Amino acid sequence: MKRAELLIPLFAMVAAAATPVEAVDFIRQIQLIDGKTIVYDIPVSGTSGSVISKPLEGDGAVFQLYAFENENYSPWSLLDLNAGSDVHANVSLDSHLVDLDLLGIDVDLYLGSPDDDQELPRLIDEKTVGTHLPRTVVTLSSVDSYRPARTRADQLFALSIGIRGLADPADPQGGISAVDLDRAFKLYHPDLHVPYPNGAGQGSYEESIRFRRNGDFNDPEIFAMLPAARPTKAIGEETFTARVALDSSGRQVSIGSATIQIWPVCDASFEEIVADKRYTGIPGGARVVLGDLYPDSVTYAQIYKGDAELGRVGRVIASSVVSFNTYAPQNAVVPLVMGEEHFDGDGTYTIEILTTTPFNDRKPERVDHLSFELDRTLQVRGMFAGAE
Amino acid sequence: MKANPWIVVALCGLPVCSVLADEVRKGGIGMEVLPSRLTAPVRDVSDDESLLARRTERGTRALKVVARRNTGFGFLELSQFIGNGSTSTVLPKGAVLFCPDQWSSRLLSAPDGRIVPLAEFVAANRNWIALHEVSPAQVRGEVPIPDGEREAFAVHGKLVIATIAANPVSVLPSNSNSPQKP
Repeated sequence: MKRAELLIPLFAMVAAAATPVEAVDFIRQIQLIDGKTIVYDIPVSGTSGSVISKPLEGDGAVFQLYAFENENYSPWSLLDLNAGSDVHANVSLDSHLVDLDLLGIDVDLYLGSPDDDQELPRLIDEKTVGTHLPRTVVTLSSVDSYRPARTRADQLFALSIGIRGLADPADPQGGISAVDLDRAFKLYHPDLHVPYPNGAGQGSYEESIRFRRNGDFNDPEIFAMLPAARPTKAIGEETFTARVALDSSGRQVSIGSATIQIWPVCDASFEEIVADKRYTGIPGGARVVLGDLYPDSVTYAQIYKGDAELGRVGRVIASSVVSFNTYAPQNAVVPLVMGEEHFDGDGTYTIEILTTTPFNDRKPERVDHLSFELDRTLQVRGMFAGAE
Repeated sequence: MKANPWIVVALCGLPVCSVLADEVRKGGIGMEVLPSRLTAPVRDVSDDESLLARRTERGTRALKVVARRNTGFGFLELSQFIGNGSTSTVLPKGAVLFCPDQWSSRLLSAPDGRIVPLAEFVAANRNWIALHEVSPAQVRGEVPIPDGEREAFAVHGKLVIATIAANPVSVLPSNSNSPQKP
């Protein structure tokens, strides 16, 4: 029986406080001996390190990392404490939530337990070790190569799962012969970009795939299916988890998982400039309000002469260019400062808001457009009359 | 305000260099962050109808949403809490070896008050808690806790927690021991 020294990366959310001792994060080691569970708790501190576990025995051990939430670091402390209650709704679990967008219901989704105590620690990570456990590697990838994986609500992403070590169901020695792949989601707060604090807005999809053979499987084109009222404004994350049953009690442990973040499609609205209006001078004071710009994007406005027509290259309005390369969607308000160099005589002009993201090969996509008429020539109808 | 054309050209060199060197692209505003080769827009960003149409066209079935499944080892079902009214701490279920009647009200099924680490809780409540080192064989229930030690628990009248290397551990009931169930 070997003592295992484990190096487990810890994602502790608690910082050592200078004054009162906070609850300490801990690793819980769970082992099954003859169908009974033995639990051993090991306190941890800091953000990475190693602990000495209890000797491993039996068929395997599950290591769970628990962390207590430190409200100093929670974005929710900035909000009204009732913010979480916005997410409660009387939504029956039997209702077909996927039809909600057609019914026009704003999905304030609450699928957690209403008695979830915020005092309790949160399970951050779980690893299962054992000599006879199957091994899986679950990977999610999108066109955006950023890590952690992320994609946009309207883009496809790919799943691949590699399984090794599954036992043959006919093997007399027994062993684990099936791996279940589940899919779950968490909705984020639209402005804070984090999950809701009390387990609200979390759920699973009913589909579950069972693998009975070793090998590599992949699905290269998956749409995000977050149950949001507007599919292009879905914001959250999806997690694929591979699980096996350690014993016959019906309990399953995770042996591999992957998560992908889903960010919404951006939107734009013009202010202080009116569509189809006849301007007698270059419009001034105009601006564009941009929302949910993709974390890795360059967004700008271009203007060209003529009616709106997709596929034209115009002159870029320098004051409107904004670029981000960060980890969460951004909002921005950009001025449209137009000068003589943007215009070429009178007539109809169109301003288009374009954005380039890792999707679509970084070719621009049009977010919104507005046309107006510029008429600076004064026509005077009059006569000179002389009086003598 | 007319942009100085020479400045614009000079600054445009910067994004070109960073693209070639494959460095981390920085955010910012102004013409210098524009991609070096601008092409025409090829499409509009998706709106809800077009996204739903694309999904149905690919035959993506609508997925039914259910409550989050918790088929693993839950936290509460494997935990035992003890508290003194103002603070409490977390123990594995089955770690309490002996509990005198007078302290049985301090065994909790949910935390009450501030949660503190076990070491701090024991230090502050030394008058009614004691730690007892056990061996892995005793943990598995193969070797019972000697009667002599069990009598000592009763004599001292303290709540006894099983530990290995000072960390709490659950102890399976052995054949000859009657378990002290909280």
